[in-house]
Amino acid sequence: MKILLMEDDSFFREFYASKLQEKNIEVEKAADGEEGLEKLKEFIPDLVLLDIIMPKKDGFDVLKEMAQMQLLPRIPVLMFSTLGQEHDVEKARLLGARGYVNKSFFDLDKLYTRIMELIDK
Amino acid sequence: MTTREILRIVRKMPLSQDDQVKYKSLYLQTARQYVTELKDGLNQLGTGSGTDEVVASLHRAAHSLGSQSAMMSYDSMQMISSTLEKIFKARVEKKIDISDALLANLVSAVNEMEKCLNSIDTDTKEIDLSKTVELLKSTANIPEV
Repeated sequence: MKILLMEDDSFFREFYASKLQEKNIEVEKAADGEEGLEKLKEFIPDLVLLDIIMPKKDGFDVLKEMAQMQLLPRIPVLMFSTLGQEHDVEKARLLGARGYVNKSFFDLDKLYTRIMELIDK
Repeated sequence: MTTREILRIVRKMPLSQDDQVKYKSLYLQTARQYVTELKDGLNQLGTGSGTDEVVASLHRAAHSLGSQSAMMSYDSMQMISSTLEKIFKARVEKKIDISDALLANLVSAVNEMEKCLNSIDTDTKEIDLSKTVELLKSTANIPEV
């Protein structure tokens, strides 16, 4: 299983990549939306974990371009949100995201379950 | 109920003690980078060269710092970062201007954040930033802060 993690914050990027690797998930990392979209031209991940606020291209830009690239809904996208981003999460859903996790409240088992649910669908 | 109280309820599963120790240095490293970004951005605002992109960068830095502080359960850092984030968001959305008084308090707040990070580093505990947060809120004078 391979996940593309688009997250500009190196703390979250390294933390979550390390934790997902503990679950034997291969993680490809991108530091912003632009880099993430480039990686989507190189390989098709099983799922994208997508931050909302990023430089260059934010999560909404990525969802729009993934739709143009006809990668949605083929690749499930799970948004990486924080408290107070409920409006943004709803906007992301309308653009094709399949769900969200609050990245500040870490629960590896819950995240893993959510990822497996989306990949199995 | 205050945001801090809500956070304590919502944060059902903080990081394990092992992870707190393991990721503290990465937290401090990235948090200090954000503080530097905040200082640089505020300096540009102070010299009148602050473009919309500078304010957007300030917003992103405050947002990221608040998120990772919440994850590490550093409540003072989370609260002050969240306040900064709301102020910069209001400025991005053209709801407020950054007055000289607000700019001075923002600079002071970021200096306090730097001290707080140093305290986490050396004493493994935060300093109380509640008065600084209150001062920012009263100076910014926007409903959602």
